[in-house]
Amino acid sequence: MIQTINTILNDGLQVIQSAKSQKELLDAKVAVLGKNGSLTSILRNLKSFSAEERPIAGKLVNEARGKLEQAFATKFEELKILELTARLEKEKIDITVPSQKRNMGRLHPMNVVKAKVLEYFVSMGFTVDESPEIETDRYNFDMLNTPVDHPARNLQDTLFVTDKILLRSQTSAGQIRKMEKTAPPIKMVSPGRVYRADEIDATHTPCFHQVEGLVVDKGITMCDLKGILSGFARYFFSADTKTRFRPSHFPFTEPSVEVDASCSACGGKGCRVCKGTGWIEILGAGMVNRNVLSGCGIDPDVYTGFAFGMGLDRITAILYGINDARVSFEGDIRFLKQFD
Amino acid sequence: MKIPVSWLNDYVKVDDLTIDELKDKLLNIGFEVEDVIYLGEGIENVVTAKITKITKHPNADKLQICDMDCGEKGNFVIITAATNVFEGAIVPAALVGAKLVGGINIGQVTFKGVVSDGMLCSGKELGIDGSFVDGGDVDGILILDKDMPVGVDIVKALELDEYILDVSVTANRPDCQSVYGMARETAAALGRPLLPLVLDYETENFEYKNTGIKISASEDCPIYMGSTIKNVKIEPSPKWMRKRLTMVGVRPISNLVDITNYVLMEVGQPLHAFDLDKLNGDIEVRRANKGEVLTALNGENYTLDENTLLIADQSGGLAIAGVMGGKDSGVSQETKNIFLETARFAKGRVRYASRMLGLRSESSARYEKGVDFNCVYTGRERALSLIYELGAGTVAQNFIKAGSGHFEKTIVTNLDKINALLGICVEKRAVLDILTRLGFDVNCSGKMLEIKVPLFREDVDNYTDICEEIIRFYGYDKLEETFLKNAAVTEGGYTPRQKKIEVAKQIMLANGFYESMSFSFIGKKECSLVGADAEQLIKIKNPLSEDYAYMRNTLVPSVLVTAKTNLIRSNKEFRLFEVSTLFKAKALPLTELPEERVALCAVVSAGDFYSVKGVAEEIAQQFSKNFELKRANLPYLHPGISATIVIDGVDAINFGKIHPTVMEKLGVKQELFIIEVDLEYLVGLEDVKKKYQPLNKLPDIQRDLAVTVKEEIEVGALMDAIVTADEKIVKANLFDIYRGEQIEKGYKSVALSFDIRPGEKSLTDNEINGIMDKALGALENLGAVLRK
Repeated sequence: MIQTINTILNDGLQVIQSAKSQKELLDAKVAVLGKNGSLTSILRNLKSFSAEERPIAGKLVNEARGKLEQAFATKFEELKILELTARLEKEKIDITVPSQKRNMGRLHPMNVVKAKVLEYFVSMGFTVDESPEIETDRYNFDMLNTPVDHPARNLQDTLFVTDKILLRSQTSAGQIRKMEKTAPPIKMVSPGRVYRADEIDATHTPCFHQVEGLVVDKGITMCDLKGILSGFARYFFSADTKTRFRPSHFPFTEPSVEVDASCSACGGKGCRVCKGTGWIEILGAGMVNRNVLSGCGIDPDVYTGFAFGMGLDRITAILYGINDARVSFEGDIRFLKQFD
Repeated sequence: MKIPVSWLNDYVKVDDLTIDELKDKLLNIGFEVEDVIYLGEGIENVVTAKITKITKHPNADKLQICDMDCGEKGNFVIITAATNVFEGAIVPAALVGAKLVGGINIGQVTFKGVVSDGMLCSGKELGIDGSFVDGGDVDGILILDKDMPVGVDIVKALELDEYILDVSVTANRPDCQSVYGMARETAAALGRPLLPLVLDYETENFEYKNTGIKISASEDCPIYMGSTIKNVKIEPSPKWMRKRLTMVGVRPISNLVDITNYVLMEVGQPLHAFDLDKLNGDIEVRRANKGEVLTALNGENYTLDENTLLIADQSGGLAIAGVMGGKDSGVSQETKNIFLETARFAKGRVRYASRMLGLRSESSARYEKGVDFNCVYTGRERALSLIYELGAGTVAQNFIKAGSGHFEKTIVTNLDKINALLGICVEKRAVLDILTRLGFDVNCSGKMLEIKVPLFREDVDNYTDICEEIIRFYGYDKLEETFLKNAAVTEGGYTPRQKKIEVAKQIMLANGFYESMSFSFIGKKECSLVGADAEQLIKIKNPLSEDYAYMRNTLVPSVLVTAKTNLIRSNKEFRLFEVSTLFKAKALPLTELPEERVALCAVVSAGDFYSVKGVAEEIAQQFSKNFELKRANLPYLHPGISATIVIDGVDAINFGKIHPTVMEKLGVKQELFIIEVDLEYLVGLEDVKKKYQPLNKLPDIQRDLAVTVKEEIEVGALMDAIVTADEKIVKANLFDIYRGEQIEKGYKSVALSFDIRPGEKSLTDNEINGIMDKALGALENLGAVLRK
């Protein structure tokens, strides 16, 4: 009897050990421990044993059952891991097959640059204003203190619709519109498209883009102009960008300055981008001309201000090394995708 | 403006500065040196040498062997093919290792068995002509002066060791359009004295053909002066003058003409010399008569109008004022006596004539920039002193003058005001020093400044101009960086409209569209592409070309052209969009500014109608809760494969496939789809209100129905029928359309799913079946038959 139980136990353990799959293992379990399993049958036939044998047999059967169940459980876990590993291995795919992503589109690089420019000024409390692209000569020239015989008023330079209505040649017209409708304090930037009668070549397009800026308040100084615009250059290019202010001339500012930033390509050492000078001209600026202020009904003895204007096309070209202005307007997808 | 450094050095000492130092000084005061030209550029190791012996080449008829004495450099043998050489001649010899103009390198060369240690040079090879080097334009070797020492660097020997600065002068500083004007600024920047111009000459008291002057157009010509010079001797001007003129880009002609040009360059005053014997009676400065014709010095006939200013005598026109003299009254080799004009003409008047006639001269260029009253006098004095110095003629003591040239400007301001604008404290001594050096006459008591503006500074009007003068020389680097120290704090940011436009763009980007840009112009050809009438558009008076003649009121042609550009370049797959302004005239011709509307237009290649529809709907949803779809009716869209999204009765978005006729006109074969959005309308709509709805406790139940239906029944109608069949049906979706073997021709199988929302209580099977029956019934009303 004892031998029978031991045989069942040892055979069972052997079958468990040699099981190749979960199913095989479960079949083996049923064969031994199931309702009609070999060990269960012994237990069921316990009555047929003598009174002395009965407790021993019961104990042996229970011990054998415990051992077998333990072995089953261990083997079961083992097989589960093996089978999972095998399944995972089987499910392996080729990860180098190209993806099926749908790419995000991108803004035109010029508008990426525009956003970055505006971001700085917005953070400084500037509003973003826009003004008409088709303007009157009054706003584009007269109110900006442009002499009546100024060359810019010629058909060779500016595109006209009528004698009095033209395609704005500068976003500066936006300064006047702002000052006419808003009393100081004024802090605004005004981006937009401007037009000139320039023949198209690698550096000229008849449409291009500017960002204008204007600050008018009591006690605005040239040091403020220098601070804000130097801060802009550091924000836009890099924290170690240096600026250089040099005298210039615009009819609507006095004093006027041209602002250069240390070349972002070579750090000021001199390269092809900066033509060896180490500096890149980034914007024109100046203190708002008294005639402009008073023309807009602002008392120039009470208020002062500064204005600036920069060419987005130029800055974009410098930033990305675009050497042909026409490319920006062609819409070639290969160009646009270069800024992904 | 070209400024030879040696000329500048006549009036302010700069020859101890390096060119870079000089450039920096000028830049700091507002004059950018755009280019530096070196007269001896590209010439190296070329020396003066004497030909000691010439022998014929033994193996070549056309070559000669020259024994050269190159002084300290040694003796060499150089072979030449030139025929103008002779024994004893001093010539430029380019030795081995020499460089010549145009990047030519000289090495040792063997000509038919004889070694040549270099090359003898012509003027051309040294970059010169005969304008100031005698023999410079000879076809052959440049024969130098026989007394020229040998072994001297040719750059030194020919005086080519000259730097010329090309300086950019801003429009407000016509006074700096001359060597002397730049010298004044340079002297102030360096703190060195400005040396005076030589204005001395002797005159004779004589009267010759006393000519009177009458100014009939005083606004155009406030002052006109004439000097008489008799017994003029027309000959070439001296070498130094020819060289200076050549350096600034003026071709030397003869002494009198050269003097007028020299003064123009040095002082900035244009002058004109008339042959006095050819004048008939008094001179009048008047507007030309319409149709009056003048033959100019260049031999061309010019037809004038009443807006051109004319210098005339009793017989007619003599010169187009400030632009060019007439041929008949000009100086020639036979000229004996001259009338030298010095005047101020209004810049606008000169510009008008120059532009109208398409005729430009050094004189007109200068007048257009502006000539001041100081210059009119100085220019005349300088010219007469040069005539005297060169012995070109005898100057009459009396000169004639009409009009007057004077303006007096005094600016009263104070130091505090100046410093308040600059934001720093410039000490009084510095202010006085700077202004005095620039020629301002300053009267100062306490902080009060009374500043008399010199005649040549017509650009200076008020204290802000004075600020500029001060900071220009005090130094911009002395300004501190402050961040609006005194200004009020303000609220900044984008407008709601700008933000909404940006949102629309973001939707496009999220859908894989790239932003492109194109010019705002459109031509007739492109208008016809979309069936638009160019006559309704705003026309540019002076367009760059016919293709850019109108301001666009639609973006469709522009994106189609962009698409074509891509297709031509074999970019077959793309999704592009553009956001730009459209222009709509309220009435033509324009009397008031037109309406400007922002629009968005996208183009898709290698796409399909339904994906484009998805993008259009996404835009619509962003701006409006409700919108309807209808078939589009536009000449440029395929009538069967296009639609319009209507919001509040307005056609807001059109999309679909481009009409085959348009494709044919465009010359493109590949299918294109567009989305045209009236963005201005959308951003003007009230914001879509968003409100929380409690979430349903019971999940929606999904059911399917597949029906066969006639082709002409639209899927939209089936979906609408289901959704309206029972209030518990909240949504219908299409999951398949099938046409094929099992389906009768002219019919299609449509499989739809729909969501039933139970509400508070769960639905029984009976209730659900009831709803299903209603849905099916609604489909059957459209002639649909349930597929088993």
